Order: sequence, then C-alpha cells, then structure tokens
Amino acid sequence: MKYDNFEFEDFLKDEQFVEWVLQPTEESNFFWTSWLKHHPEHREKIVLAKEYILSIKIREPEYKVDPKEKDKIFEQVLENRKSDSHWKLFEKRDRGKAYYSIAASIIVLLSLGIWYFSQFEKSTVTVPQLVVKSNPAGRTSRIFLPDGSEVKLGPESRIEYSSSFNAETRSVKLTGTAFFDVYKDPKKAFVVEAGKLTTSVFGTSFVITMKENRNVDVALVSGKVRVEADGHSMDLLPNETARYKSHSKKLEKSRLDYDGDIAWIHGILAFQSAEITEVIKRIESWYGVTIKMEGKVSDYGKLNARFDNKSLEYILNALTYSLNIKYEKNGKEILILKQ
Amino acid sequence: MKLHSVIKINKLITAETNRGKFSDKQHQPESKESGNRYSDLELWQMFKKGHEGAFSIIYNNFFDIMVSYGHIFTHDKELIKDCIQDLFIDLRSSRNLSDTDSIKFYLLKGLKWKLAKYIRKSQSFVSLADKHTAILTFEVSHEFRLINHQLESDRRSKLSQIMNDIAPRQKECIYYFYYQGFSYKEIAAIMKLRSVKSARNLLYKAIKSLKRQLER
Repeated sequence: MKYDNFEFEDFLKDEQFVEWVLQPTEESNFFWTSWLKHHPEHREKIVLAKEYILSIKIREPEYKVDPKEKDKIFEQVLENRKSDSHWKLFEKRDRGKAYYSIAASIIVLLSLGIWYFSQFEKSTVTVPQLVVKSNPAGRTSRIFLPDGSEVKLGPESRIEYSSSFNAETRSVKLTGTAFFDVYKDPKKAFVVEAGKLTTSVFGTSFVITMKENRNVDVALVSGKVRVEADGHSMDLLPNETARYKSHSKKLEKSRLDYDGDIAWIHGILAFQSAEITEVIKRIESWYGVTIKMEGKVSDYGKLNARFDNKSLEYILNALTYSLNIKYEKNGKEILILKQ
Repeated sequence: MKLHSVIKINKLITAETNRGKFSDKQHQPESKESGNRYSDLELWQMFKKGHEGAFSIIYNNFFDIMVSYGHIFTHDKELIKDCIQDLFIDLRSSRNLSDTDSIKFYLLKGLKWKLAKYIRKSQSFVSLADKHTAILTFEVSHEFRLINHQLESDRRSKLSQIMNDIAPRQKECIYYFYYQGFSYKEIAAIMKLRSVKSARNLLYKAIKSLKRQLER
C-alpha cells in the first residue's frame, strides 16, 4: 500500500488525501477510517496534516456582491449584453495601437533607407498625435493612460493627450469632470489642465470638475497635489478641495464635499440644498435626456437628495413626491409640470 | 417572463445541489450528501445542450467563488464583475465547449484568462504574479479543533506569516491545492505550467520553504 511509509509531508502532497480532507465522500471516509484502523501509528501524522490543511484560509475581500446585483448581472448575461462601455474603449485603443505599430515600422523602414544614403540622419521619427476620449451625456467611462494611470471620465466630458504621453511628460487636457488615479512616477509630474487651472501631481488620486461658468474644482482623495491658476498656486492635502472662480480669478480652499465632488464615481447622484435648475442639469447630463420645466425656479424650492445607482424613473418618481410635481416622459424628453 | 421562470427553477434546484461536490470550503461539507442530484459533468452537459436551468444553477453556485477568486488578482471590483459577466456570455453563446468534471476549475481558469487579458491591456500592473504577494493573503484559522491536537497560537500566527512570505507562484499553488482542492493536473493548466510534474514540484518547493521557515 502506497501510504504505509508515508511521512507527514507526504500526506500534505498527496492528491487523494487532500481531496478527502477538503471534500470527503462516503467512499473516501470509508477508505481512510479503515486504513487508519490498520495503521494506528499514522494517526497523529494524519490528524496533524488534516488540521494544517483545514486551517488554511484566505482573507476574503471586504467587498461582496449583493444578491440583487448578482441577479442583475445574470439578467444581463441572459440578454447577451456585454459589460460596460469601457471595453469598447479598450478595443478602440487596441486598434489605434495596431495602426500605430504599422506606422512605426514603416517609419523605421523608411528611415533605415534614408540612413543608408545619409548616415547623418536620425533614425526613428514619430510625429505625436492627439488622442481624444469623450463621453456624451448619460455615459461615464474608464480610461487607462499609457503610464498606467486610471481616469474615470464623467458624462459630457473629454480628455486630450498626446500619443507621446509618458515619453517625457505626462500631461492631459480636461473639459468636464474626471477622477484621476495617478500612477506613481516621481520622475515625471502628471499635469492636468482644466481651463485656466493647472494641477500637477506625482502619484495620487483626485477629482477635477469644470463647471459651465468656467469655475473649476479640484478635490483631493489621497496624496498631494499642486494647483495653479492665474499666477496663484496652492498645495492640497487629502480631503481638501481647491475652488477656482473664473470671474474673480480667485483660488480658494475648502473641505472636500464627498457628495458633490466624489460620489458620482460610485454611481451616486447627490444634491445638497440644490435648486431645481441644478438638479435638472445634473439629471440631463447623467442620463442623457432633456428636461423642460413649467413655471419659475422659485416655485420648486430647494432639494436634498442622494440616489445610489438608481434608474431615471426612480429619481423622477422621488421628485414627484418631494416637490409635488408631475412628469411626462416622451422618449428622451421629459416635461415637468406642477401638480 | 421567461427570465423569472429561469430564476425560480434555479432556486428550486440550487437548494438541492449546493451542498454537493462543487460547494467549496466556505460551506465545508461534512460528507457528500445523498440529495445531490447532479454531478458536475451532468450539469455541464445539460448546460451545453441548452438547458437554461442548468446554466442558472452554474451561475448562482459559482458566482461568489469567482468574485472571491478575482480578488486575488485585482482590487478592481468592477473589472471582476465585468469579466465574470463577459465570461458567462461567452460560455452561453458557444455551448460547443469541452466536457469538464470540475465546473469550478473551468470557470476559474476562464476568469483568470479574462482578468489577465484586461489587466495586461490596461498596463496598470506590471505582471499578475507580482501582485499576488500584495493581494492574496492567507490566514490560519482559529476555528479548527481536532480531538487531541490544536495548533498552538504562536505556531499558528507564525505559520500564517510565513505563508504570506513565500514566492507568489508558490502561494498561488498552495491556494489552488489546499483551498480550492484542485488536482496537480488542474494546477498545471491554470498556472500554465509545462507538465503535471512541474505542478508537483512547485507545491513540493512551497512545502519545503514553509518547513524551512517554520523550523527556524
């Protein structure tokens, strides 16, 4: 019998033994109990080996998917809906890359030819191109920059960067709202330009929001950033927000407002004593709809609300109750009426 | 609608099967219960023939295990969920799959490839293996008390510390063998090793380095 001369470690390495420990069946229980009866001298080793194996656990992730979400994903699978839009971004980027590498090899070939005739020419020359990623209303996407930094781009927002990004500098131009999780590289500052405001960092995460009136907010989640506008500059620490007001050209510091600045990354739409016009603007941009409203702004009062990954209908219904309104929905157009 | 009936069917059947072979260590089975109606192979073949109930059982039984497994490689929960969703869509759209007697192995392997593909593309990690050290964390539990033996607490904490210090690939191998109950053949496949023998060697090495550290 192969087990007769087994040592403690041999049991640890044995597939059948481990299988019995992890997934005992009637057969394996019978086999091992009767084997032990005949070999009581192995008992100690086996008990110890069993205990070692059963005591191995892994630290489970703190994050669990709740059953509702599990059902939702299942429905999407049944409807054959592939996951988020960010795969499409990946695919696009890939295609871009392929062209790029073909272009690069042609350039290399060409320049080799040139080199043959004139050895003074430099070899590879690539002309940097502008890469643009943008979202329409109703869509957020995730973008990975060539240096490994991650950008969550909000609805109605766009970023631009050069195809030579990360070669010498890392600079991005932003319109709209984006969350940046910057890959740490002390040698190359990561610079975001949003309107008049420039934010430079080395490795950190923060949110920049550029508003319609050209005001810009920079909310810092972790690390340290430097913000500059109109010759003024300011260093931010985590949980601080820099607000740039375009008409007064002033740069001010305030505490980070989670709901206002950060929550959207997690799919949360939140308002704090917001006027109906702001609420409507956010909903339009969030869901890609247009909303028309009857009456004056002052008719509606101010609103506090927090919607955690809710549908448009859910939010409209909530508004119906709290603001005493009715709504009519016609495709992508919504009309809000007073009761 | 059709969808709801599928979910209902699945709930009925899961109640009978989730204690079977494919339940993992979290719900430690005392022994294989006789109420287990389908083997992995049967369930898999039913799914391949287009049985939506079987597909639903598979989805519901393995979803949580897959989420937990995904966390070995990345903290990005959205990526994990997306990869699981895409994997199931792929499986469902091409039912012309090979047979398997361990659905868990089949799914985890598929998930690992998907994750690796996207993680590499995103370039946010240098390599999957390097990340293991940081993410896969073993804990030696306090719960098990067998008749006469009990790991003394200092030995236990030492063991969990040592287990987290060994090389990432050895760690991954230990995870598959002792936590997921994979065979050497399955380990070789999921870790892209050349042969079953390499999988054995990797585990032997892991045990050896554990032992060496413990005896210090």
